[in-house]
Amino acid sequence: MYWEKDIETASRQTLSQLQFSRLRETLTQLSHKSEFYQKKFREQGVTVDSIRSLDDVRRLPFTTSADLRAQYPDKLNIVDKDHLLRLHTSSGTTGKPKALFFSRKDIEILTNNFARCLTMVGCTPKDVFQNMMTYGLFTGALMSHYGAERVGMLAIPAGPGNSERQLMLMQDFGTTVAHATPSYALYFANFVEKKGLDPAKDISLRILLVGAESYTEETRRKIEKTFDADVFNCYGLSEMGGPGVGFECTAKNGIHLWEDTYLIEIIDPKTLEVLPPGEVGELVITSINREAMPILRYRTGDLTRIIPEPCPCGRTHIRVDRLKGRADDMIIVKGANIYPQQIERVLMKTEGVGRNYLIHLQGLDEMIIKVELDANAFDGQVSKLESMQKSITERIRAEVQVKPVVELLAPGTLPVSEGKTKRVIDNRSL
Amino acid sequence: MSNNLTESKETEVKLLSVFAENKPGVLAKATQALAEAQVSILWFKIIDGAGDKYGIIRFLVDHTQEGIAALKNSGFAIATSPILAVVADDNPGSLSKLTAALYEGKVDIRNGSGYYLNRRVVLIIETQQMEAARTILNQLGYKILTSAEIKALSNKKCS
Ligand SMILES: [Zn+2]
Repeated sequence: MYWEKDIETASRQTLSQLQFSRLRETLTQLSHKSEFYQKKFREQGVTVDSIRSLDDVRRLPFTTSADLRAQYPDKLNIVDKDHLLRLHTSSGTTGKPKALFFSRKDIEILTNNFARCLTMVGCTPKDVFQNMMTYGLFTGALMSHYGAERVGMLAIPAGPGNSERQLMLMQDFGTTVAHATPSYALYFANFVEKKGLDPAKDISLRILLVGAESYTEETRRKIEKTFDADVFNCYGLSEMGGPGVGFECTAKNGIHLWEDTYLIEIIDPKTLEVLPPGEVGELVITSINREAMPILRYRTGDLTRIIPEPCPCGRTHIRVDRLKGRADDMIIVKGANIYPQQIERVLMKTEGVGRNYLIHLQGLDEMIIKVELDANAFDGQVSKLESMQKSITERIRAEVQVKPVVELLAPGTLPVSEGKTKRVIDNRSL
Repeated sequence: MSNNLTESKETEVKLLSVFAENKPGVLAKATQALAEAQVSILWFKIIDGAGDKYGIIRFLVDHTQEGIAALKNSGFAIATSPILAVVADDNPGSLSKLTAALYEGKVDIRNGSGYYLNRRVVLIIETQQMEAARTILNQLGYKILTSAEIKALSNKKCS
């Protein structure tokens, strides 16, 4: 199903022409109105007229998270206050948040893009959409809420947490589509089971939109099996307007990013050179259809690769692989570079492992992996737990070249946050 | 595992096993959950896992179903396993006679424990070969308690 078939299946030539004209318009606006980019253009020695093709994008300056913070509160906004409709912020772990402004046109485009995403995965006006994302300054919930209403779905602004009420809403209003983080989806499944219900049978979810945290294919399968529903991977970031930057289609093989709104590059995070299609690097996004706060070459910190092959769904917009985690997620233990997702992949494939885990670094360079058990697989035999512990230890060592200490925990004991769940706690005294 | 038992599900005696990553904390929380549900603990044992970081606490309770529900509602990962609760006299040699008979009958005892009750010993035997063990013990004239008898014993103890 398409929301806007013409644009979703437009030829590469059409898309490129549209992208180039929108990029030029964006650069023109910035060169007139943005002191921040005027300065960057001068430093980089670029003028609007010197950008003659899409390939010239690589001559434009990057924008970083630190830039956004430094321009707080409103130095990146280029329209009159009268034209602003909404403010969101994106909080960091330290310092000031990033302030993100949206005009009426911006909200309209993002709403429409999210409606595209929902239709792409099979949502229709008949569906009931329960939004378990955080409403508030975070873009995740409000933007998707608007998109669901645009499709014509009944939208329930449940917000995160309060599992008792989530379950009640689901049962009483027949929720068919839910939007959640992977960690909350799994936590909620535990909760439903504790109530003596079967998440696959006793609730009528058929689609789960899962995003805001990166997760592995194994976790997707686990959620799908638990709820007997399709899980679609959503990609978004507040800096680019929130949750509908890209979505998986029903092929479940890569995330389509909307190229009439964004220009996509993959760069080598060290040399900052653009990488050829297919190579893994950092995703860099330029907004090309944004009024209040256009951002050039934003370094997302997310690692992925472009899937060059055409998608069987017929959409022509670029696909990127499931995100491999953020470049800054990487941890170094005993000299080995480790992505938490490598560990997650091993855990989620292991029979008897539950739905949550935590990587704890401590002491001199010790890696402790805390793993929740699957209550349904627990049979009361110590020997089985011991062999599971041993098998996890060995397989993780094979995967990351560091031998972890694996600790088993009771189901539901690790914390689940309402925003992004912290998977790594580093208390090393190095 | 319990399907090859001659006894029906209702009379079969079961142990409740609770996963315990923090043993003292879990023991306190589990016993409280059972107490609140008016379930009496007749016997318990902590089995340590590798590295001593976690263990499994086994409970024999008077009201099994209520005990399971109480522990589940408190969020524990629990499992049940069938056992034989055998009454032995508190005489020297009684235990060795029994274990020797089971050994000769090639019954592999996975876990065995006992507790005193009214001047007698109740032996708790966990094995993969339940039926064989039951036959041997019956032949030797040992009394194997049913779940109803376990309940009754606990009442007697309380009175
Ligand atoms: Zn597709």
